Amino acid sequence: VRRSALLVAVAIAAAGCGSTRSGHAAGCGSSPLHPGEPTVGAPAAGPLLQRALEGAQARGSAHVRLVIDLAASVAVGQMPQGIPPARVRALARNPFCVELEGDVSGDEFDLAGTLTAAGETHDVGLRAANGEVYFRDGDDWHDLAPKRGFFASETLGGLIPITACVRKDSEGCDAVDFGPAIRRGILARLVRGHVGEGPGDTWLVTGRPDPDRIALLTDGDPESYDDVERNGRVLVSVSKDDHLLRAVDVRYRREGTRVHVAVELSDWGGDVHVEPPHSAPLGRDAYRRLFVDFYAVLILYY
Amino acid sequence: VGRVLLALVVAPLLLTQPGTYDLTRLGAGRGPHDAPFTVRYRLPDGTRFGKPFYVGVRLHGEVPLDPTEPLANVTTTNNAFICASIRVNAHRYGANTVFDWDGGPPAVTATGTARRPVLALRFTSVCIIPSVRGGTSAVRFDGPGLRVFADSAVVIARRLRDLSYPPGTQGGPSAAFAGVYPPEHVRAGTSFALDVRLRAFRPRVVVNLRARAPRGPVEVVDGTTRVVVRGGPIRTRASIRLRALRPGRSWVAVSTGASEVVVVLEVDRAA
Repeated sequence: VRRSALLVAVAIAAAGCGSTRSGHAAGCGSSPLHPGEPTVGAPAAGPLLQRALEGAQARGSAHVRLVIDLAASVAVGQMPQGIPPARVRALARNPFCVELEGDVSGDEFDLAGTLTAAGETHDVGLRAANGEVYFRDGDDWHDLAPKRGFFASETLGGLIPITACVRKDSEGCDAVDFGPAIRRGILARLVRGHVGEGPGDTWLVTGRPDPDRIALLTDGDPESYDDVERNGRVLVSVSKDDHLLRAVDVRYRREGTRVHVAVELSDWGGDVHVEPPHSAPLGRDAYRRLFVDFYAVLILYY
Repeated sequence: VGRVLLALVVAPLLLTQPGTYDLTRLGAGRGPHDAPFTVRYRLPDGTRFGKPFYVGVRLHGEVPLDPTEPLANVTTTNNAFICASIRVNAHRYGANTVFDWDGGPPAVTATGTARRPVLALRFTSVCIIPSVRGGTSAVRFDGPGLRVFADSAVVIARRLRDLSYPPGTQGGPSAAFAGVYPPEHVRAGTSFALDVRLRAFRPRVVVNLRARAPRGPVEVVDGTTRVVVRGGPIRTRASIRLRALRPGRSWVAVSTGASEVVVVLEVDRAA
């Protein structure tokens, strides 16, 4: 779970700080980017990504299209507690995919799209406004929790790298801030690879996750991430003119398991103002729909 | 009279002087012996740890490196208390397997033919305090597939410093392996590399990385690679270049001098 989660977290981090639209959109099972060859005269990957991340941080907002898709040919050996076995089997047999698109800033976001799990597709939305996080299932909005508590250990804490976890009061993360990891150059060096011509007017970094840098990010053991390097692939496109991130595509494949996260970024620095929904009761059922399935899938796919 | 004579004949040897008492001398024959194997001896009544003797066990043996077994534990014990324990780990990468273990050469090192790699064990280690007692004692050698040679022994010493501690338990290397990865598949007629990662426990350590392989389907291109390993959180990378000559099983041992790993390779037919 930790490794898959890390890939997800890194891509989300990239989305949270940065942005432009690439040639073709990612979807469940498809990528916005394809591996490229190195080009003579291209910048080095580390400085290129460092500049892109600092630029993203300075702009503070972007339009984001995010795809997380997971597929595996797994036998159901470990049954997550509290979920009916039939549901677990259905989750294991079908790809899991979240496709979301919308505006994101440091404090607010408004994303809409689909969640596909156990062979069912739901029209969903996710919104953060006025310090609260809301989830939409069909037409009904639900208040999930204060955003501050959203990253606590009992919810998303396990997914947040230690260097991005801001601790004040709780056992988990009171907030998430990738700023220190960006300033220390850890995030930009998470990818070992070469740089070549990308789609449109971009540079394309084609590489693999660097296990030693991931360990710096998570305060973990580098050897436990060597598998991610061996079976992972990272593609990042950066605009040549404004040096901002346009797309990130992270893929991990091993023995029939596939974890794929794609983020496309555009309209950097635009105004983002998100209003809370008019009516949003506290949504325990919605919470379950969003997180229980997601965690069950992560447990299955680990 | 007959019973007394029989008891004298079968009674374990009484060890009253410091020395090395090999299995033959202890009455176990000329071996080799398949584990688990137990040999008995006697110490004078009232003997305790250091009073007047310390007891150690010398193991000279070999254990097969079996790619189907992810974990093997080779132990020597005295009266069921531990003297030494060598844990052998196997990590699969596709068709190939990397073995690592506690301790390093020359106490624990790889040998054998290309088809049948084995781990040669040759070390003496002191047995812990409660294991030493007067009367009859039992030394046991155990491990999956372990063969114990006849020059394995019970070692009696008056001074603790005359005995050594188990491999891998005293001090630490200045640099160590932190990941060795073969390709998942190797084809005959191709060159390939082992991806080696090293960690230093000082700011800068120079390691002469040595690789060797038995005569067989795989040959080492560069036997020695000099690597400067930097301390800190980022591991240093190196690669060992190899060539697959023909299909079949072989192995490559890679050593830093203080520690060693073995990669067992299954070479497929040429494409």
